[in-house]
Amino acid sequence: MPTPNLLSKSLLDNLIYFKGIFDECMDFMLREFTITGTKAAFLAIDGLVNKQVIAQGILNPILKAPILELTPDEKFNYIRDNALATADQTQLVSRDDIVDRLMSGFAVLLLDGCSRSIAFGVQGFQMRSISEPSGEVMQRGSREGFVEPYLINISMIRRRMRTPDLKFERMIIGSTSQTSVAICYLNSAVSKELLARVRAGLRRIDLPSVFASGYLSPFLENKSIFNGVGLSERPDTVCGKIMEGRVAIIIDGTPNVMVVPHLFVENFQSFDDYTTRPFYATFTRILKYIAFFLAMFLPGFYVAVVTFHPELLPEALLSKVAQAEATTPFPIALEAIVIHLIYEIMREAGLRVPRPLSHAVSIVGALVIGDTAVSAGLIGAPTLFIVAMTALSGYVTPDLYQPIAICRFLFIVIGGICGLWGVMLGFGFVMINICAESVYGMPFSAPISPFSLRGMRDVVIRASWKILGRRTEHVQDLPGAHIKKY
Amino acid sequence: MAGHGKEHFISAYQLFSVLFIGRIVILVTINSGLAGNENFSDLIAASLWMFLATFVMVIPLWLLTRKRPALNILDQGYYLLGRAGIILPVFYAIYFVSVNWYYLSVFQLFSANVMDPRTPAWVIAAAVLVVACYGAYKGVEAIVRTAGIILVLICAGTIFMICSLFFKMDAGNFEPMFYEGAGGSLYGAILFLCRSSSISVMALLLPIVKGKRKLGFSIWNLGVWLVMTVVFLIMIGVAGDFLKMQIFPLYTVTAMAELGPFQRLDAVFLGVWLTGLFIKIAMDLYLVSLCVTRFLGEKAGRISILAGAAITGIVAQLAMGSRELQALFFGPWLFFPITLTAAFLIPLFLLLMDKIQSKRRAGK
Repeated sequence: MPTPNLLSKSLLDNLIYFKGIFDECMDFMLREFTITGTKAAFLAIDGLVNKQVIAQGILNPILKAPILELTPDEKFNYIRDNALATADQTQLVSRDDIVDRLMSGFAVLLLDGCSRSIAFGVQGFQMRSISEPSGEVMQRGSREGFVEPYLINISMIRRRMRTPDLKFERMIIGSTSQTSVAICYLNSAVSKELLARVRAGLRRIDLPSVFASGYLSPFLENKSIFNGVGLSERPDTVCGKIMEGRVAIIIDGTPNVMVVPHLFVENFQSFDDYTTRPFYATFTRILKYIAFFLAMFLPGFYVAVVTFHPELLPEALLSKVAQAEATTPFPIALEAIVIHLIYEIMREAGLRVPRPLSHAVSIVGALVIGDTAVSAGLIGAPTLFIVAMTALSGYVTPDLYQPIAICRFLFIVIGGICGLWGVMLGFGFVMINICAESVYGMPFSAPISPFSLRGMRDVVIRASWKILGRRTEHVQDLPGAHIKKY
Repeated sequence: MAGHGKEHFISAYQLFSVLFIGRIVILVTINSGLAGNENFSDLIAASLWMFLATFVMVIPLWLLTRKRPALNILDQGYYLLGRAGIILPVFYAIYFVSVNWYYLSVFQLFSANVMDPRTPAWVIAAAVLVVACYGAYKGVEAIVRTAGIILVLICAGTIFMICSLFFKMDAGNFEPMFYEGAGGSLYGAILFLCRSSSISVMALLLPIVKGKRKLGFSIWNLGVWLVMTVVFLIMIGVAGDFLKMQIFPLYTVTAMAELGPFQRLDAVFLGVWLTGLFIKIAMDLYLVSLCVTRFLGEKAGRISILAGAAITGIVAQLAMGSRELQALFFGPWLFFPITLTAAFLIPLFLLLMDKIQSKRRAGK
């Protein structure tokens, strides 16, 4: 075990240490003063603390307090127990702990002759206000989305689940960034083995910095092209997952909360499903599955059918496709690849350019692809329609966009070389990829395969709350789970 | 490799899904030339004989598994025969590679004749092997889970095809059964049996199967028989004598299915159907690796997947170019004795060995 870097009794020694650590840190605040003859110092990081609270809640009471005690230790105890009006205060003896607290927006009081210190929670940094999450817009339900400070996010979850059974564990990840990460779970619902695996996975992380959830994902997820770690910006969604025995990981500095394990079928569930009536939620679920298959396979299927199996198309449709393709110079597979590439470039441009310019990108894209390329005879209108359908379908399941975008290209190539048989084999490959993976001992493809009839009440259909509410299905109860139940 | 090193369990439903797919996939390639019979009506009887024979053939394996439920046939071999038990993993590894030759070569013949001739058959065969290798590397759970999904697609496609063709059936197309004697149906039954490695697959996997295995086996066997019977009835009812001129009559029949304005849906049916092919090959490659692991260790087991796939591809390609090899492979006389040995004779032999050893122990 490393030797703890303990505070010295000498204030001078301590100040030399902290001044050395924070050398050339212009935001480091050090205020020295005297408390009835005893030298004292106050440390904080500018920008992370509320100076008004420090002045009114800490310094004023200390300086005005009738401290009659003689020894520094007695003075320290008096200040700690009687003088201050702050709720969040901790006694610290280690210099490393003090540095950690200073970085988290605490202010620290040191006294000469005393090898202890008091840290006050006086965080006062600027932050984005709580607003509707832009990435997960819902028609109904709460308009609150997570923000960057993780303590606020924790409070948002706590407000929705007012039970001491809801636990939050703090960890520090990132040797340089020292990012605070909180593991959140419902003690009575979570599998202890799952929890142990998540903790172990996070402890294994050896990164210098963690600035977003994407830094941690590779250490937690499976090897599938589909993500085994769920992300949400919505506290209500995260609470729903925690209720099912999942573990949420809240990272300081990002509004995305990670949830593990994340199963494939969860990509088709949204919080709106649970706020609308079951028959409509079921309809939208089915729509999402259809959209996923369209987004993934439609371009490859189209290329395969037009190139190798035109007999599949009705005569009228076939003649229209043939007419359009006769005027274009490229083979259909190449045409589909080029249009998809242009579409992906447009999409990236739309995401990255400053917002005022995004309209210009849309107009140029629509004109270039939608009108000019077709009228110039570079691409066929049916292919363009297929690409548009594919793009729209891809937006229905936004969590799956990344694997879909890559697989789409592969399916076009396979469809262009091997026809429909190739596309079916590609489908098989994707199916194996989904079915082979386990996330924390849970089959990624559950409850579809291994099949669970009980699990299906919230997969393709969304049963009424009268049925769903009868018993909460915990994730470790799914068939094929290689994990201890509780 | 996902399949080795840690304990895996699969459900009875999953096991019999894989076996069902294996039996159904090969149905696509049935023809009168291979069946040695001009009368397709006899194949309906042949499927019944196959159904009954399967129940009989599984008995030794069932009794053997009941004695030591935690051991598969390879472990039973080592337990009962000692060092000589090594012969079993070697035999089964060769057997499963041979089954893969059979399936892939008949599939290549099929694809070269009726699927799109613009794509060389070997390209599609190579693609099948690549995907199958991937599945085999991912392990038994991956294969059976995928099979569970693909089975639904295959069943949906089959039901749709049957419904679509049902109204095109003509009673006049049916010929009397056993018109030329019972020999044709018996030959057909032997052909069906030799194309099935299901009991051998069970011999290796039964110890890791959870759930109602007896019921699963019965439903599976009944289901295979029913599907084969219905498919033969539809084939005969829709096309009659025309089938005798076709290399792959089921393909011809599926080409007649239509859905509203969509005609010639054979490509879709067969696409879905043949997705099952890689499941079958992946499972057999996995079993090859399981056998090789048993006598050469895990690393060799891993390599054997690739080696097995390479051998499968090469032999299937050779068979494509040689009529003699086709005659040898596609008829029953090479594969029936091997399948009978793998599925029936070896379990029976081990069962007898067990009896003898039990008696010896009781005598002592």
